[in-house]
Amino acid sequence: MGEILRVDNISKSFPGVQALSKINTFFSEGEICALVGENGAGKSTLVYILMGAIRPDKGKVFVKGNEVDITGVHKAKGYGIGAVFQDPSLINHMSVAENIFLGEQGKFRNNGILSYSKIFKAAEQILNDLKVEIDVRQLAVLLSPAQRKLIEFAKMMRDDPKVIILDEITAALDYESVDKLFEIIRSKRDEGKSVIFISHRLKEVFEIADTALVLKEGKMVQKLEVKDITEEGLVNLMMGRKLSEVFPKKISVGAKENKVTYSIRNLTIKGKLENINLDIAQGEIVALAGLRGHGQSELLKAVFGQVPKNSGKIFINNKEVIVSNPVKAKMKNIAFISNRREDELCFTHSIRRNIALSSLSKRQKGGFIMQGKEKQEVSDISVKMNIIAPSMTTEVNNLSGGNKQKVVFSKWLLTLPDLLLCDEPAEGLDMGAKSEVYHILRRLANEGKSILLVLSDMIEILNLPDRVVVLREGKIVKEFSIIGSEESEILEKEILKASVGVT
Amino acid sequence: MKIRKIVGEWYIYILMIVIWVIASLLTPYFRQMSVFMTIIVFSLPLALVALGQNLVILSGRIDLSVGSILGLSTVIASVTMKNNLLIGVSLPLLLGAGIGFINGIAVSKLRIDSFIMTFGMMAVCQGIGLLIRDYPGGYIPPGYINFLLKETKHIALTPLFILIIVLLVGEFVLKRTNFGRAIYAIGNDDVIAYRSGINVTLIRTTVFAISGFTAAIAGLFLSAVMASGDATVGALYPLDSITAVVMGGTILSGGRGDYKGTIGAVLILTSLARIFNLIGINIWYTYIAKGLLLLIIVAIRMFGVKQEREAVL
Repeated sequence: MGEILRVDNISKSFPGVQALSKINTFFSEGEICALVGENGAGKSTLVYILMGAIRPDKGKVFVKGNEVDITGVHKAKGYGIGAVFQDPSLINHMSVAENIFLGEQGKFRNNGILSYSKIFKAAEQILNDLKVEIDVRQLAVLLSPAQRKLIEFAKMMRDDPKVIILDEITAALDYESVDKLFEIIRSKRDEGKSVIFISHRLKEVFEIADTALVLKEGKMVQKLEVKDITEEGLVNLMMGRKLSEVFPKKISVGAKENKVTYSIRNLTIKGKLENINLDIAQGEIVALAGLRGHGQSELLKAVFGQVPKNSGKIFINNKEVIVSNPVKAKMKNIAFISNRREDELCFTHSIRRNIALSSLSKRQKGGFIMQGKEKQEVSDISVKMNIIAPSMTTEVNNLSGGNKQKVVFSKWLLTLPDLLLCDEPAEGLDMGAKSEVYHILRRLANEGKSILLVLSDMIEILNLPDRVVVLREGKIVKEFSIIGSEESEILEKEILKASVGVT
Repeated sequence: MKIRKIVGEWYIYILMIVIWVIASLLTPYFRQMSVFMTIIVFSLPLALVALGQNLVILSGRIDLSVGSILGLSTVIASVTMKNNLLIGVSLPLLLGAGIGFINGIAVSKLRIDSFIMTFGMMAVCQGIGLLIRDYPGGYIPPGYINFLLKETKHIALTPLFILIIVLLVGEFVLKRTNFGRAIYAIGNDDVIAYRSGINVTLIRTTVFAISGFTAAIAGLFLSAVMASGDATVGALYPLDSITAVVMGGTILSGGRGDYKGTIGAVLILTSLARIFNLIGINIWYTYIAKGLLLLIIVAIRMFGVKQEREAVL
């Protein structure tokens, strides 16, 4: 198959960072190429350059052998390059069809007046081709995150691009939608399109990609055939570290006194959770797994008192506690780290303010903040958490993803929790930061905290927790102990089967 | 870098000094102490109203009822003070805090948009004030006026003291108390604050109650200045207080800003009227000057923010 897109000696630097240096590669017709690398490796920069959102300092881009100067996103579209970016791009109060044809409504006119029937019909045609079943008359605001991504995908496919760039498109999707999307991507490849695919989930890279382009610190490490390498090998290329070092070693379960500290009994939220019973021992990491959207996040929120429950009790050491809102949860030493960092951090406030926020009441005298104590505690925890920042008065906005997440952890750890609820603690972080988060969690467990996680990445599920609880349709369907990684393949299969309901 | 930071924090006072210097070059009258005192006397009520407004805006809401609470407060004072000074002072304060409390409950519990709620409350308070006293008048005890506005060597010290105390209390509450921190967090995003275990309803309600309370204090002070009660005296205060808060560097959507900037803006706003008066420019030009100054300052600040953003990208 012929080459479609070539980049020649592309370099780009931002103040203080060499984002890309001398990238030489090409993408062919009928190729799905995974762009892999840690956060900050230059993946997004490369994508932005190909889409004309930023201009390279040096280097050339060729489309079908002709040198092109991509000065803007509309130009990229003209050259047959389309992308779905990480950031949402749908307009909430427009219908799906209008979103798909945003900017092209002019084509659907009857005597100069916009014809909705025409636009709906054309949108239905596009969705049919992609085998997506979504009502085109629906407002975008009503779509689920997965549906949104599919519509953004459809919006890109409207222009029938020859090169399709997908930046973290699967992050918001459940497994079912991912499978569906992959089917579409494969069929597009077979039509001769070139696909550039970015995902932090390695499993997906191995599932869909033909080739992998490994980037590290702005340099190209290698472009290789996916079938020639193992997961471990790929991770090693990305970070020069072994997978076994990414995850912390567990202290064997038997060595600890497994005292049950937190118990959830008969917890029900109508339509979301049904009769959940779960014990979490001191020093134990329990992970909630299963398909996304089957009640895992709801369970954490219910335990934290953030959403009302229809029934159910929570016991600490067999004593019932009432947790009806986050204020009470905090008093019972429960902390909840949400998977949405925008729900955790005041981005324009300083690191110190953010870290201090949840534990203000622990350092006060008659409502006045004890400044010295606050400074001390914040700087102690930031050292412990290894937060890298110019100073504690730096705006959180300016931190990397990993450091932001460490600020979130610090914030909650200062409340001295006994039970830590964590929704996808390492999501969206690069490998180095992920590894740090895993080690933090294990260290906290070793210090005697109980930890309840929601995880969806299979590698994490198999390596991080002591115990995995699979939820399906709001019910606990199965529990697994994770002891070693010897039988991980069998275990993985079992977990998957429980998740989708195959026996 | 350091200088830029200092300028960024104190620009409003630098501007104030520049305006004062220019004014004193333009007219010798501006160099008199009495002018300075007039500015302080007229700044104090706005500073008080703006303190409450500042807290409300920092928490991400707005309070349009401050002006008519202020007016109502002068009216109540002018009716009750002749019988009992203690009641004359405490009743307006209680009423102001009470009205603010109702605003707060409506905004936080019933989730009524604060613009609408306080807009409605503005009309209600205005109406009540006019029902009680439809024409400026009433009796304010000379002793009370004398206490607040007595001049020793041409200097009215009490308003100056009150202004300084208000400034210090405002800054202290915002920067050094849990309450202040909670206001910033709520103004930034109330979901984050709620999840962090902050009692959002309580803080919101308190903030509105304080706003009503400070408006009422401003009313008590103004009743001494006017030596009467006037239900419509506060008409310009809602927008003037919002102007001062925004000019002073607080973001209208909440979560960012402080009180010292607001005080600087209050001083500039009240100075402008004095200066134009002394130079002999038609007083209506102050409105144009106020509006333009606000727009220019905000535009410059947004320019700075934009540059920062681009540097990050």
